[in-house]
Amino acid sequence: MSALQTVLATPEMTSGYVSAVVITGLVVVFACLVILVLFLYIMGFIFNRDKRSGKKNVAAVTDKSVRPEIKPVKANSSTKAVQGGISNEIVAAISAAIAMIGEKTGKKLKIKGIKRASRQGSNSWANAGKVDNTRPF
Amino acid sequence: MIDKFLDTIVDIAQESGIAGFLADGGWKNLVMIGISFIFMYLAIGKGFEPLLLLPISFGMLLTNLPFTEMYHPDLWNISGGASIDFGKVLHDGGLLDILYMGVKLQLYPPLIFLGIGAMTDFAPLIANPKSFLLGAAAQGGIFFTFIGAALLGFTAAEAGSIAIIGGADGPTAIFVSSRLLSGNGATGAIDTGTIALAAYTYMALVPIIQPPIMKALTTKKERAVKMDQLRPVSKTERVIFPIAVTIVIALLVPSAAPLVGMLMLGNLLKESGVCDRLVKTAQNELMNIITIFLGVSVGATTTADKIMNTKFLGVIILGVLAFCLGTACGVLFGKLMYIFSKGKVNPLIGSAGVSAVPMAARVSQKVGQQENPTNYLLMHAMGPNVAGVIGSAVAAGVLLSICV
Repeated sequence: MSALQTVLATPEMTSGYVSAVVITGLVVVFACLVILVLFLYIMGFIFNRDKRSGKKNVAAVTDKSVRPEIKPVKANSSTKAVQGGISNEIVAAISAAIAMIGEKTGKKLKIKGIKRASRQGSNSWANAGKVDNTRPF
Repeated sequence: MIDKFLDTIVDIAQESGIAGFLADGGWKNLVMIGISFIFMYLAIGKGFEPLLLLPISFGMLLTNLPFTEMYHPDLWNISGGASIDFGKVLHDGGLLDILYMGVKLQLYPPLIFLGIGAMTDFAPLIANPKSFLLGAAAQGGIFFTFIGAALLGFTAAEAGSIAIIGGADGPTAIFVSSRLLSGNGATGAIDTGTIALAAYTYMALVPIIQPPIMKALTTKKERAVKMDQLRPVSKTERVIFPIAVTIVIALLVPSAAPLVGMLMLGNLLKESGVCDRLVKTAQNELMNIITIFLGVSVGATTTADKIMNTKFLGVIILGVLAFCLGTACGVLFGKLMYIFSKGKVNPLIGSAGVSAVPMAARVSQKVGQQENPTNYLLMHAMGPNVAGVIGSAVAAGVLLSICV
């Protein structure tokens, strides 16, 4: 530390001061972020308790060797829900958009069918735009 | 009549910018204009941080064209504890002086943080809270560089301003340096513009600076580690997070509140899902306007006497040292986590703790994929990356508390 002191040019920058800045800085940054880590773990524990208990129930069921009833999937059941002429890409895009809305709102959304809307009335995108721009603060 | 004509021509010539170049020390302005061209080339030709480097380099050009009177360094050069006379700036200042008030009053950086918050997804951090520790470790670059700055003879205020470059966060660097370099410790040798220029240049060079350090400090086996998928994060957690972070940080380090508070306000607007219009404004119009104002006014402060001196050389050297140390601290802490987690944590994500969102996380992803093409570290690296933003804001608060 004395060697450090000899090369410190400015009078205010004593070796003690520089060490204090470094140690204080690292300790405070770590302390703040460790508190946030603990908070996030507690928050995660609380909000994921339901999910974990759900998983445990599933595990309990499998332990008892009770096989869940598996219903056979009807052939073409998914294609029937999609109106003819709608490509797989459009179905994928709509599914992704709905999945994102579900994730954002925290609701479990299910697609039961996809069909073209009637051309009557104004365009849905135009309506969405109008609503977005005229919504009051 | 011809005499009068010739006199007028001579007067015009003497008042022109060309005469300014021929005046005493005018060649320095030419050199600075050359440097501004280099930065313009880096921004336009190479795509290095163009949103900031282009306004900064153009501000540099404007301020070094003689007699433009857009920026007056004498209005801002204060020493001996005097304060800036903002009334005089408004009365006598040029366009860039007026815009620069937003920097000196510490308005722009928190407003940019508002926009960053509105664009940032903290879910990877909430899903893996340990990432916070990597974000904290990478701030070691800031504090170890402080020692280097002290050894090179900088004052505490200058050393703090240089050290914060290691946070790899432009708005934070500007926020800290504008406040520290306005106080008693300011000698006038370096300025906010100098710090910003170094910070943004190195941020643009993150993909070049970081990989050699990451590879040197890790083994092939460590770099190839595949991490478990992150858990989904509920909306409630996303909403609580910005509120909790604001309360914790503002209570522990109040001087970090302007940055962290605005960052979290932006994030809360986004995550609440009920303020779409405000979010769009914060993410786009507000952010873009402030970016232009900030860039061009900070660029204007890079006058020849501020850049062409040995102090600036010191800033450049210490700046790159800060980046390297920050990266090394993050990676080394990542190695520690690799050991304690019994090989479940890839140490490469530690380097993303130096902020520079999202570039540093992309570097982790790229280096990881070089060892294992099927490895996707991006989302894991985003945790330390956004933690680094909060960590550097806290470090800024500490420096402001100690070095003022």
